Amino acid sequence: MEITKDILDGCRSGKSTSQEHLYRLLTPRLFPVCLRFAASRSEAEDYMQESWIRIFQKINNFRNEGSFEGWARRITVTTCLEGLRRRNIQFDSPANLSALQLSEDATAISGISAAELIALIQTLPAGYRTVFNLYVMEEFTHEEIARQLGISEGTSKSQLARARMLLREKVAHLHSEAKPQHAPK
Amino acid sequence: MNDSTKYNDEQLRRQLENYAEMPSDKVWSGVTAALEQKKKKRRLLFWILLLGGIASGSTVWFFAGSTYSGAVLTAQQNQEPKPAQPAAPQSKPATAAGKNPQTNTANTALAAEKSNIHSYSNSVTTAGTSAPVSGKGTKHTQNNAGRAPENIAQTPAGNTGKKDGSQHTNTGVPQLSDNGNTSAAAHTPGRSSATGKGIPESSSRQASVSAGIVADTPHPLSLTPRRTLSLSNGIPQPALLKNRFRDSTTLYKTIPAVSVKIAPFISLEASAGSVWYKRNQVPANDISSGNAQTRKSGIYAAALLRGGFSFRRYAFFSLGVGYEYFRFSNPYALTYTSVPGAGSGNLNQDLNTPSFEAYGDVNIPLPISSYNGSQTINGRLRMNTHNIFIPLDMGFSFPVLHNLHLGISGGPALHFLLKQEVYFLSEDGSKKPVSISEPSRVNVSLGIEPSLSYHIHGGLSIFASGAFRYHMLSAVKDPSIRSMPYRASGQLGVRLYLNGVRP
Repeated sequence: MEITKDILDGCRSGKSTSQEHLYRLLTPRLFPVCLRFAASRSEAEDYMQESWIRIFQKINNFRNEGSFEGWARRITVTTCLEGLRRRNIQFDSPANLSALQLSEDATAISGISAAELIALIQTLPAGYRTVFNLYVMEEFTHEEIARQLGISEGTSKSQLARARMLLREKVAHLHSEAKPQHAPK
Repeated sequence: MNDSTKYNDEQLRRQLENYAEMPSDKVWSGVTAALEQKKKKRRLLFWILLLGGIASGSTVWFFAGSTYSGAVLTAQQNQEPKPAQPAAPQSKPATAAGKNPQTNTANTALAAEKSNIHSYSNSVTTAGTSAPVSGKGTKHTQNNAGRAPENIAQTPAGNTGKKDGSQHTNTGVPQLSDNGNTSAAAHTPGRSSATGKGIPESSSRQASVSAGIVADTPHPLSLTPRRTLSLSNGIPQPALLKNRFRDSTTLYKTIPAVSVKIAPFISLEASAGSVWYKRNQVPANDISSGNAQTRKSGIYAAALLRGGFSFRRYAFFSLGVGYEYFRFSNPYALTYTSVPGAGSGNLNQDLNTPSFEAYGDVNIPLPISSYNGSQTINGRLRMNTHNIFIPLDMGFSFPVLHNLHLGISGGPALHFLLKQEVYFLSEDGSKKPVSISEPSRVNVSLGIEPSLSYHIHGGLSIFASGAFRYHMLSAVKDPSIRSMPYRASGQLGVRLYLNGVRP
């Protein structure tokens, strides 16, 4: 199902049926974004709700240039970042990147479901998780992340490296927990 | 970034790209409730603006309209060609009735000028120009007799309307000619008469001043004529309706002339009264549920220093800085029951325990589990708040009776919290501390305040007012809670205008 101009026009004029239609169409794709940024499902629901309120309030600013989903996603990410900022996320001080183990096993995550991956990302500390999401999933540069979060580029890089390392450990741990279950008797 | 990392990122993105999941239904209900609330706010703002617009428009119409009949009409009449007349006979006061019909015309017009200062409704029967029109048996009376007796005396007897025993009745309503137009003499005081015999402005002004009336100051309460008639030459004329304010010489003399200046004023006021306060405190992201409300009534006191400008003494705009104090003291029954897991302690333990039940923004601790059975302690929950506030107001004030003014003002205000203390006062008089959500230090409110003030002497007034104020920001710091209080208050106060200018 596509987002048609009629739906958007209905939302612009405040029609609740159009608003609900748009919500049902887009939420399944936007909610995982909130899940990745939040530490819990309830926190993600808070971000989602706040994002939709903003989307409906600012929908008149969308000029039908580019994809509506992309526009809505940007609002969702911004809302998540603001929510995290309100929660005073702490960033570790920049570290010596060479000291961090950056090499990763590309095949490690292949055997994990998306839901499990999101659950793993949620367990990362807020600072790591935020930078990881912005860099890996939203494809921000370190310069953009530093500007968005008010940190230095070095901090952003070290947060990302630590996030990767921690995630890799968690994936490995998940694999090690899963193996005995699948092992032949 | 090495290749494996890049590959890993790609794979992660791909894996999560098509993942879809719906949140629970309460997200959508929260969104709709929030949007509905915004709509309500917009509707409220629309009505406030509409009513404000109507109020200001009415005020402008009310006061600006008073100059129409004088300024606009006179300008039109001044464009009329004035026949050349020797000035001397017109400006010379007539002393003998019937001797000089032209002078009588002018003097009657002069009388009309005087009468029209008070009221345009006084029609003038001029010598040689007013034809008796009514039938037999009617009685001619000049209702301007009390205002311009000299002109009555000057009116020749033969021109008083008596003809074949018929009498002309002058009811004070402008006399219409056959085509429905009024006599110009009745409408153009001091400028030109219907016969083209105008009197100089100076003479009319002299006459007016001699009568103790400022002729060229429009009456503050005069009304714009609702309908217009046309003279035979097509000049629109106002329909002159009877108006008790405008026609009352007594009232007119008691009301000072309206100042068109924008005058600065500075005032100091103190007030006290009672306040009713309500706070809707709900989780910020789930406004559809958990709607805990706090209703409180208490006392209120404030002191305010205000400076601003008054416009024509009826409208004003001001900025102030003040101190306000609220004291709420509401009965509250604290019940202790046995609840597992709520902690341990005894009745003498401070109420500031880790588990609470919410009472609006005040957290009452949960019952203590070690206590066997249940017990209720009656007392009062007290909250004292001290604020600094900065109101930005605009408003209007209208005289309703001698020295009594009815006014309305409103606008935004900034509130800075100085101190807030909350405690539970039990019946035995012991105070128990109560935990409270950390309040916001700054808030913005929007309010409206109708008032009735009585001017005592000099710059001193007393007033009674009622106010309604809605706070735009959350009253608590916790971002997960949205608490938007509003309050209604009624207070009595005293106000001193320090520089003597009183809006």
